[in-house]
Amino acid sequence: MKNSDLIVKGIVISFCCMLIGTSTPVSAEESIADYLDLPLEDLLSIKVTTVSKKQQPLNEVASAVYVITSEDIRRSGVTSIAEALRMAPGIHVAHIDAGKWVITSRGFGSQFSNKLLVMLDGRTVYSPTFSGVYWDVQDTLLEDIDRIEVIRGPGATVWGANAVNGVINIITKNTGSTQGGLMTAGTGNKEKGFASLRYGTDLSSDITGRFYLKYNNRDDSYAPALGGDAGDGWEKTQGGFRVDGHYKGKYSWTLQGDAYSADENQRINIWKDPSNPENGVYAPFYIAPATHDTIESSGYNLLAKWNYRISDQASTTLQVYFDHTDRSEIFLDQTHDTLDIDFQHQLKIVENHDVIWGIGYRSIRDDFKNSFMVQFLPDSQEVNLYSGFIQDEIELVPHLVRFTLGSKFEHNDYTGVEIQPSARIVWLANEKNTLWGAVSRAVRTPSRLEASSNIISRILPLPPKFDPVILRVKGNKNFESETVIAYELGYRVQPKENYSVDLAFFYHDYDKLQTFEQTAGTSPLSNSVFGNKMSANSYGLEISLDWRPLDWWRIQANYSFLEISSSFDNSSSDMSNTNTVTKGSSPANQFSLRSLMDLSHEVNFDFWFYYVDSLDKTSFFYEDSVRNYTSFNARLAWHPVEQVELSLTGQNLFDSRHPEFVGENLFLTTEVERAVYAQVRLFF
Amino acid sequence: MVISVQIVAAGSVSPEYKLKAALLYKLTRFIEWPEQYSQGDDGSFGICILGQDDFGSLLDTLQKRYVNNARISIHRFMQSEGINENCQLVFISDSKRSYLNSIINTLANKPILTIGESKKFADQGGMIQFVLNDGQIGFKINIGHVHTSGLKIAAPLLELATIVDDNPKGTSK
Repeated sequence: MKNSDLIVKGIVISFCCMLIGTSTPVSAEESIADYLDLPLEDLLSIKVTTVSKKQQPLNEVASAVYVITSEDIRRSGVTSIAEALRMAPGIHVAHIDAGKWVITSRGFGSQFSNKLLVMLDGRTVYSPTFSGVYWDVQDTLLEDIDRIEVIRGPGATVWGANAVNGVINIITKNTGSTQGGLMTAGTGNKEKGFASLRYGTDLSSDITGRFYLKYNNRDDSYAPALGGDAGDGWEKTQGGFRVDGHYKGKYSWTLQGDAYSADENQRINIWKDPSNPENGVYAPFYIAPATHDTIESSGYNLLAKWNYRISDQASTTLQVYFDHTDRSEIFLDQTHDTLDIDFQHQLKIVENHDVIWGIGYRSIRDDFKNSFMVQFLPDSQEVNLYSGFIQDEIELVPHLVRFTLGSKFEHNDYTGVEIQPSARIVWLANEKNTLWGAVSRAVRTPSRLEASSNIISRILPLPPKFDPVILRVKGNKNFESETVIAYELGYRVQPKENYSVDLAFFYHDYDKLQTFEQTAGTSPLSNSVFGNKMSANSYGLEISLDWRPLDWWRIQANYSFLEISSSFDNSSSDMSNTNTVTKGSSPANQFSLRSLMDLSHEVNFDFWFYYVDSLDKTSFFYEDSVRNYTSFNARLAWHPVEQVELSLTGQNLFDSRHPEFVGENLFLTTEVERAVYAQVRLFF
Repeated sequence: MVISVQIVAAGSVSPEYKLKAALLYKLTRFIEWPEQYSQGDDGSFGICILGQDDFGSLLDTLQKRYVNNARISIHRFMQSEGINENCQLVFISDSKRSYLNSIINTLANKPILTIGESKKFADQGGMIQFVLNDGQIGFKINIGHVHTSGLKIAAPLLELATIVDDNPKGTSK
């Protein structure tokens, strides 16, 4: 009963820590209304404690961070979290079809890209099936998002496994700042119809809450192979709530949850079982091309978080969540139940040492309904993850040089103990210049896919009298973690009040990368098994520039460059193009330029164009390359009164359609089309 | 993990800023603006925040109140160029400390009350600076700059403050 012991320990620790503490004279939570009618002398005699800002200003962080604000999201006109990520430098976002995205940081994109840690309010949302993200169902009311922190490079020391190439942290607003009602509705040629409702209110003097409901209906994209609709339109309904409370200015808590249900469509190439005489019509290749299929996807989660501020310099946080997801499509049904418990304690042990440590436990239970095409063996299992981390931030020279040293220690059921240390240093040369550097190690631990899958890759016809051969990719119980050691250097400068530049350089050294090893040497009839026989290194830079030529005009530009080279180990028998896909699936150059103008108090006009370089090869099975493209987007918004916003958004305006990525052999290649939609926002 | 990347404070506003928010309003009771500048073109009394807004939604509650019979309206600016005749009072957040000299020069001799929180705000020509001593908030007032701008300060406020006078033409009390 190790698990329950750990949970109890976590809870006991947090409670014992919550019993220590000092009293603060003023609660942080009184309304300012009580103050306004006091005489000035009384106000001046009030004692306040200043909260130490564990949250550092952006320009002092020793990693490559970009923050997408709620204003960025609103004014870009994006309609999903996935699309919002295009605003961050160094992030490659590509549609596979209307409901599938490939999103990577610093390369390694594929249909199953898996080196990114994605969290929504502290809840990890990548899929334990393949360590990638089903972006179609990672959603919340976009207007409730406070910010999206996009960290390029490893973030494993604090965040844990999978934070190899980056961490995406989506954070919603405290309910104190979403009071009242909001209704939105819109329609367009691709966003056929969408609507949402949110209402927030005070539940008592120190508890606030909100709930939301939203619905989206999205149109098909274009399939060149079919010369028309790709049959991948989809709709989704989601609702949720959040309640925030505080007590005596020292305790705060959050309880939140969401539930969603999505009906999606896809056209896929289905392998048919040759041993079934009924499938004779599909001979000799036994494939039913571009067959219509539905994806039924649903899930719910509940998260509770307690924070106790012991003093200005110490606090504890306990977070518990439960997450349930279901996804069923023709080749696989999958269900996951995740329970996660996390405890953290931040304290100043001695002057100039800011220590933060934590322990965590996660249990994931999965259940698969296998098909002829895709199987997971066993079809149900439970895995446990134990983790601990400690990090010390040292003020080497007060207000000038800060050094952070830390490590994460994790134990998972596949590979045992994983250690992920990092060292970061930041030099705050002066208020206008910051220089930082970091060396860190991170791992991508195995998922069900590499450990225990059995997937048909193709069916080969043989001369008459022989049955066709079914070639499979098989899981490998001994699959190891992929590793990276990353070296980063960054510089931020704000020469003038109205512009700033943020630069990051990186060199990543990867080892034990996933390959497909042939089990029968070089035979074309060989099955393959997941192996770890490739190494790679990548280098590149990301630049982001923010400039306000005028108070009513903001310009935001990003540029990123990436070069990856990889090589198989001598013992590798990979014949699946893993090497070429590694190099060929990420754009060498990306550029983005946004202009945000407040033409008057009532009218905003914003445009955004981004360029994505060509991709030589993104799929293990298809040879197609993806040409470069430039997307031009614009949004015009009008607030006739403060409570109403009417807007018109156009996406890919100068381009009738373009492909962004070629997925694996199950899926049709699709193209993103020009889109226009109108939207109303109503505050009440 | 539970914490976010330690970038920006999320959630509730610190007690310090609750008090500062109340003081911004309270201070208007001790200042006299020249008649034609005591409200903006739109007839409201403009309280403008320049730079990072640490007040959260607190200031919005002030929009129900009045200064000299003009209803308060809150405006937020990221850049000093945006400050206009609809600002009667400007609070300059510490996020702008590197650019204080040029900001104060831009606003010099205008009947706009400048309030700040940066270490040398009053010495650099800002009119009223919040100072924090042992958990209590006090003021430093640059009396010279207040006078040259045409604003008048009531005596009770001066008695509660530390006075800086770097303006030879200005008359201190």
